[in-house]
Amino acid sequence: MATRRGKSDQNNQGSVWFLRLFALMWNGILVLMFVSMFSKGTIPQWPMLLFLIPFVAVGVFLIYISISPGAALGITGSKSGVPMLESQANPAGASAGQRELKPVSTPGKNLWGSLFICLFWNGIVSAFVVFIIRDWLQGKQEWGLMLFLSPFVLIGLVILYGVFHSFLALFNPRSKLTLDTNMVRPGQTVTVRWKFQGNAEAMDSLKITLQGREEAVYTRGTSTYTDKNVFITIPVIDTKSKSTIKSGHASLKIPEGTMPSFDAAHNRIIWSFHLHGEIPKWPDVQDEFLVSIFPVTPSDLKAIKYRDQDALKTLEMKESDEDKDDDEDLNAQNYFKRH
Amino acid sequence: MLKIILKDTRKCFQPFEVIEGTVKYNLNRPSSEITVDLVWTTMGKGTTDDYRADSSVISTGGSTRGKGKFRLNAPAGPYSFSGKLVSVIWMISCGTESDTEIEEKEIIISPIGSELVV
Repeated sequence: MATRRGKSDQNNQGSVWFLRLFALMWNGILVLMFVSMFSKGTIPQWPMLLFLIPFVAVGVFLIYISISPGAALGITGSKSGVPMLESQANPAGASAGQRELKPVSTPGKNLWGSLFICLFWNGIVSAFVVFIIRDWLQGKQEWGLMLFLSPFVLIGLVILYGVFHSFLALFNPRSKLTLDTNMVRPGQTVTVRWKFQGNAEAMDSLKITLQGREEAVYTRGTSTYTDKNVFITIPVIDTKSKSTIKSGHASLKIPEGTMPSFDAAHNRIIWSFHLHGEIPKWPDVQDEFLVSIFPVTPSDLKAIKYRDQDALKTLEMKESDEDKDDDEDLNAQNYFKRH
Repeated sequence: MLKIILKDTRKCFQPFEVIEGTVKYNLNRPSSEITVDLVWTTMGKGTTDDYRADSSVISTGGSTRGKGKFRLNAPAGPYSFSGKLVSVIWMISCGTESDTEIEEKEIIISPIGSELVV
């Protein structure tokens, strides 16, 4: 039987419950393992504990995504597709105020994220490295295993560098971005204000852009992928002036006839401000601030309609004037031909 | 057989506009009502999302043949658009109680009078 559109379960409840069951099983097995290890009265050796770190990390991660499955499965968004804001409940009142945009990520979050990946990867690799070193000290040189492990160790070192990089970024100046309105719509001119807290003088240049991008989340096999495509980049500011870098403001016009934010479970149109502050010999300031661009209101539509009608009238008048001119030219030509 | 006929044979509507039309039916099996939905669906690379924005019910009175009018309210958004990865398609979809017979008609909901291209 054919199924009609508009009746699908957008929250993908089946996947969520499978995930919860998997998290329960994974952590259950881990608990049983720990209980059996410690119940023997002997404390496990540290290579064994090192080896178990990533499995525990996965367990913690599974608990986290079971509690908040939307973000983990890439299924966020409102069912209607139109972005929801706390201000949308009272758009008339909200439009008068300013809006401080929240960054997508913070240096602290980035550090924890990279630390988690580092522990996971290097936890597994280090267990093998410990075995190799032990064998090496005992005079057994497993060259084949060493060669096999080398790329994994190299990747581990790159991840470790990432942790170090994220740690340094903790000391970067913190950016704050504010809009002069709560409800941004296509065709509207908005003023963006930026301000840095901390050592803003360290930055050599500052570049802020507004980007519109499409995002599509899809599943192939057991993996979930997100494809992104930036369809517009609007420059807001590109400066090297120290005083402007520290704080300033700029106006930009949201293009008329552009697609407002679209926020469904697997498909999105995302608008965001990208802030890039260059710091020599130090991790750059790179922040992203999401902004919701709302569909036009009925009054905006009327304005568009009247403006279009006015434009049409002007065009018609212009065309009729041109036609008149053409007719007059033609008449004049004919007159001269006849005479 | 179900057939959706839109008033003034329009295809493009503005947000917040009322979409009016008629459904002509000649059913194989009797159905006490026909539901007409205004839905959007996504097309493209991502997993399909869809949503029913408004709905209207046509009572057949047990008859297998006839016609009925419907009125649906177009919401503020999303607009009909076409991108490299994602497209949003609006449609009027109607079906019998058991959905054994369904019919869909693609429309455009946009403030600029055509599908937006990003």
